[in-house]
Amino acid sequence: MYANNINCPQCGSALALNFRHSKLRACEYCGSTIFLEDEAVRLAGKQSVLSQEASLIQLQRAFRYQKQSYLPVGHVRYQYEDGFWDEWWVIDHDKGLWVSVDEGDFAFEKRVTAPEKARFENFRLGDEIKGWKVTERGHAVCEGFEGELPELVHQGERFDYVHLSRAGGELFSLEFFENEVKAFKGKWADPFEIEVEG
Amino acid sequence: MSESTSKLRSIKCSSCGAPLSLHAGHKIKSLTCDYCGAVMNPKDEYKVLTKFSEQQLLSNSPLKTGAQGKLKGVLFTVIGIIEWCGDGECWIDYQVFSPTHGYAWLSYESGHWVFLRRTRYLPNKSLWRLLPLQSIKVNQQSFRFYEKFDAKINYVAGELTWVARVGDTTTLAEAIDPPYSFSEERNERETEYYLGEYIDAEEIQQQFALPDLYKPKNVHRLTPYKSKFLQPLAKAAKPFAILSFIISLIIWLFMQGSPVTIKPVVMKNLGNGQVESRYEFTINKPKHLIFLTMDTHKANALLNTTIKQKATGKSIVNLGKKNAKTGTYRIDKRITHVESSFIVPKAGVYSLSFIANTQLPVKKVAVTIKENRVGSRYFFWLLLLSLAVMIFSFVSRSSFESKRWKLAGD
Repeated sequence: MYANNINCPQCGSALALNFRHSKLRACEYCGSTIFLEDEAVRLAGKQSVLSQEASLIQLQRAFRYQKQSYLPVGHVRYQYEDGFWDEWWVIDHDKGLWVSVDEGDFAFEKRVTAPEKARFENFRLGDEIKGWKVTERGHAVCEGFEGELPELVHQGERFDYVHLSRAGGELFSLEFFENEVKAFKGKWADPFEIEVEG
Repeated sequence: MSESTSKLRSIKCSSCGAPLSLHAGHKIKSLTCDYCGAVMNPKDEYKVLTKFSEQQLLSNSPLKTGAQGKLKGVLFTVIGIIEWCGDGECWIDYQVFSPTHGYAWLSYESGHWVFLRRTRYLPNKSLWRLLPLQSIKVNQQSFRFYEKFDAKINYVAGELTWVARVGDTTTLAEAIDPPYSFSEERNERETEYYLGEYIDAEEIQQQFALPDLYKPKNVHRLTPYKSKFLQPLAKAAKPFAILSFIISLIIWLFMQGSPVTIKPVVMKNLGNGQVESRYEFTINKPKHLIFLTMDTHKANALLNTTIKQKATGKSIVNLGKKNAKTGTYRIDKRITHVESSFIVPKAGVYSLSFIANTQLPVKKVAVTIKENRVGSRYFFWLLLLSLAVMIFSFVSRSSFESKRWKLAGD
C-alpha cells in the first residue's frame, strides 16, 4: 500500500497520505482543506466538521466484502431531499472506488467516462434507457468531507443526480455539475456481507 | 458502531395529540398514530394525510413499536406494524430499522417468523409467469415457485418507508428454497423484490425478550427440515452405504475365489440303505476362506457331510452336528443344498464325505469348492443397515415436505 506524509500548511501537523493520486486532504487537527498538486500542497480554506452518525464504514477502519479487503481513507457527505448520504473513498487492490451509503443501501461504484451530451432533464423516473431504468433523480449539496479524496469536492457545491438500475444489482449514477458530468458504475451491496476488521 | 441504536425522538399526533415515539431515519414516508389511526407525512411537518378511525387495536401482536432485538447479529428497532389478510390467512409485518443496516421486515404468522430484506438482484424470469414446480434463479440461488395471492391491509401503526393505508391491496408472488424465500410485491406504484429467511421462534423470543411466545406446531413454508436423530444418522450412513456397496461389488466380482479340483474317490455301501460318498481335494492356501456348495435333487441326501484333513483324519467341517466348530454353513430345509465357509489350518489334501440314506449316483450331486475367497457378508449387512437408515430418513423428510407444499397455491 502507498504511504506518504505531508505537513498541513496551516498548523504544520503531519498528515498521512494513503493514496498516490489523492487530490484533496482534510486536516483533522485544524480543519483545513489542502489541495495536493503534484509535489506541492495548497491551503484551500476551512472545513466544517461532519456530525458523527452511526455507520458500518469508518475512516481508517478496514472492512471485507466478498473476500476483498478495503480501507476507507476519505468521506464526503451530501444532503438531499430526504436527508443525507455518505460517499466513502476506499482503497482496494486496484485504483480505489467509492462506496455509497444511505441508511443501509450500500453501493460500490467506480468512476467511468460520462456519456456525451447527457443532460439531467432527459432522465425521468421510470424511463428505460438501453436496458437501464431510472430509479432515482434529485438535487444534492456537498455538506463537507474528511480524510483524503481522489478528486476535488467543494463544500456547499450543488449538483443534480440520477441513478439508473438494471438486473444483477447493477447501478449507474450520473452527477451533473455546472462544468462537468461525472459518471459512476457499480453494484448494490448487501450490508450483511460487510465485515469490519479488527 | 454496528451496535448503534436508532435515535429516539417524539412528537404529538397532529390529529389527536397522543405522544408518538420516532425511531427511524430519513427514508420514512408515513407515520400512523396507534391511537386514532391518523396517517401523517413526516416530510411535510406531520400533516395528516388520511385517518382510519375504524381501525381496531391489534391484540395478537407479539411486538410493539420501539421493541429492539438482534436479527442476524444486527440490532434492529421495530418502527412500524402492518397487519395483512389474504388467501384465508392474516399475518403481521413489522418494519424494523438499524442505523447501520437500514430497513427490513420481520414477518409473523401463526408463531412463525421470517426476516425479509429488500434485494436489488432480479430473478432470471418473472415470478408471475411461473407454474407450480417451476423454478427461478436469483444471484445463483434457485427458488421453487410456491404461491401468488392478493393481500389487504387490515391495520397500520408507526413509521413506514411507504404510505400504507387500511384497505390498500397488494399482489404477492413467492418462491422458496427453505429456509429462504424470494418474493415479488406489486402495487400500483412499484415492484419490489425481497429475500426472506426463516428465524426460529425461540431466537426471536430470546432476542426481543418476549415473556411468552406461541410455539408453532404446524409446518411453515420456510421451516427448515430438522431431525435431531435421523438427519445426522442418515448423513453419516451415506458414506458407509457407498463404501460398503463398492466393497461388496468388488468382492462379488473379483474375489469369489479360485475353483479347486474335486476328485471322487469312493462310494461305499454302509448297509441299512446308507451309502457313503467320498471326494478328495487339495488346498494350497490355508488360513484363507474356502467356500463349499453342494446341490442335489434328493431330500436329506447331504446329511452328515464332513470334511477331514486326509493326513491326520482331523475333522474340519461337520454339517451333521449343530455345534460345528469351524466355519459357517447354511442348509436348506430339504437338505438338498449346502453352503459352507471354512478355513483349514494347513495346505494339503482334504476329504469330503457325505452319507445318503439311499444309493445316490455321484453325478446327481454337484459339488464345488473355491479357495482364497473373501467374505462380503458383513459389508452386505452394513449396506442394508445404511440403506435402511437413509430410506427411513427420506420417508420422514418426504412426509415433512408434503406438509410444507400442501398449502402451496398456483
